[in-house]
Amino acid sequence: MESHDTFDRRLAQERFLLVGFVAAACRGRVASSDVVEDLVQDTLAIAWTRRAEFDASRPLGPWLRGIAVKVVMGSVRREARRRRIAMDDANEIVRIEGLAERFVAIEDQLDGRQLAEGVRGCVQALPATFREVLERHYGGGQSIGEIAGELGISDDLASKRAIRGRALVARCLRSKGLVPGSDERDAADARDEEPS
Amino acid sequence: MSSAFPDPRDPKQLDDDVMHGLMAAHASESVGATVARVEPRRARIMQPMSMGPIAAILLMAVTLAVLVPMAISPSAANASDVIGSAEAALAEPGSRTYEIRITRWGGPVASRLMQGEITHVAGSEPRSFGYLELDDSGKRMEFGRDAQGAWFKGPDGQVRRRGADDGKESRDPAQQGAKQSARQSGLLVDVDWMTLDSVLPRLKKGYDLQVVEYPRWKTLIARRQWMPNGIDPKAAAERAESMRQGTQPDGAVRDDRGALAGESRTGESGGGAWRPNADVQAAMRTGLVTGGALRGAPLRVELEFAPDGRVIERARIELDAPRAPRTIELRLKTPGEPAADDDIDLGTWE
Repeated sequence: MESHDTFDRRLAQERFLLVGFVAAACRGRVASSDVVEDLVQDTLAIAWTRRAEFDASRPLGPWLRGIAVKVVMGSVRREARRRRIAMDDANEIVRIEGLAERFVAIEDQLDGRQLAEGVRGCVQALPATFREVLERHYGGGQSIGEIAGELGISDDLASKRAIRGRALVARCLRSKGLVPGSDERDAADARDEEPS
Repeated sequence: MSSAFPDPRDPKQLDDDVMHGLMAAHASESVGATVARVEPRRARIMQPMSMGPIAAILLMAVTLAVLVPMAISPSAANASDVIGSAEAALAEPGSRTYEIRITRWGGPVASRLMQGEITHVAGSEPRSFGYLELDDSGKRMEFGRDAQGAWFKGPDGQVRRRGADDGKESRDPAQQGAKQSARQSGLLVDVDWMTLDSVLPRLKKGYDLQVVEYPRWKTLIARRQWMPNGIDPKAAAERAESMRQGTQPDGAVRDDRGALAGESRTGESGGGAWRPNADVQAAMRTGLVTGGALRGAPLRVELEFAPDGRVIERARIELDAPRAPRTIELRLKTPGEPAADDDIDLGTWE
């Protein structure tokens, strides 16, 4: 078993991708960003208590995401029940495992620290209209409706700016070789981003 | 069943989900929220501080060091009076609802197993009822206790009931078998230990009680005197004495072939007198030991009272069943507080 310090350090290194994975898995299913934080905490707590079961010679990310899948599924089920939404367990698991695979592909290329730096650089390089919406939404915790109200634009436009902003960040990351992707994908994204 | 959510296989949706996650992680990094929550102490230490706040903290520390011991020095109180008044408060007409959290026992980050609620209704027909939800399976189990005894509804929807007199020992193996199956086939912990009105009377015998009383709050700590696996010297001595006398923990005598004294065998005439272990039998009569050899009774119970000193606001019941030690935590809900189902983060109780 690894020493506590080593394990803690590795947990800290994985935190960026873990938060990303949990937030992606919870998207549209769990309302509050605080819940995402709680689920990350639950995952880290479980990982810490079960650190003896972890094979230190293997990568930590997939093991953490394995725990996170269960933690997120539990939360998504509870939320669906609370909101009385019909939920197909099999579809949800397919979706979350699909996300996990994409994070494996990202992780194969670089570690969480490099990716965090890359995302920061790409967000800063965004045109102001997109950056403002993304910063308000993710940094300020505002809903799309609130952002639209404050900027005096329609909900639809605010939503489009958020989607296009994310696509631009993705393209920037791909161009730097930080996430996997193809030129065809970027060309398709560019077509989608033509002003309507 | 069709899902109300988007198609999980749409690669474009998945990519946008990934980017959403990365943006959320970026935002989380930017505000440092997760760092502070994962490693609160380290994160606080890393904050640069000016001399102003340091001086203020030092002044406050000195003030507290002088004032706090004067204000909150504990005073002694009679433990049985405390239990008595808590029982009286529970018996007053009305209802109280407690949130339940069950965790694996021990460790700084004990994992949460189940959460739910229990409501005690006092009055002419006292009863308790509640539910528990398993964290990762979404299963919900209802349980309760009324004049007929404890019951719970298993995943199959069937109500299983344990008779009110099941707490008393029975020598009828068939009856014991049924009782055990009712207790063990559904709930991870015995209903008795989640209902305060059944916990309180059991603390009167077999527990060392300590009341810590401060001007603003009061805590009762009960530590079990009997330990089933001889962890402490007293329990080890009790067990050794029990074995020397040839008695089992339940007070029955077995010969060296494992048969209960008094059991007749083929080719043998029945015989042998009971040599009961008086202490063990007394413990069983009080209901301290239900169903097993000194197992099941909580190792430690901690009750935290409201400022009135009667109503239990929080309870922590530590069970030490050998394979699955667990802790039950109860927290009194105030009227209007959202249900436990809405309040997902239960990790800030301590």
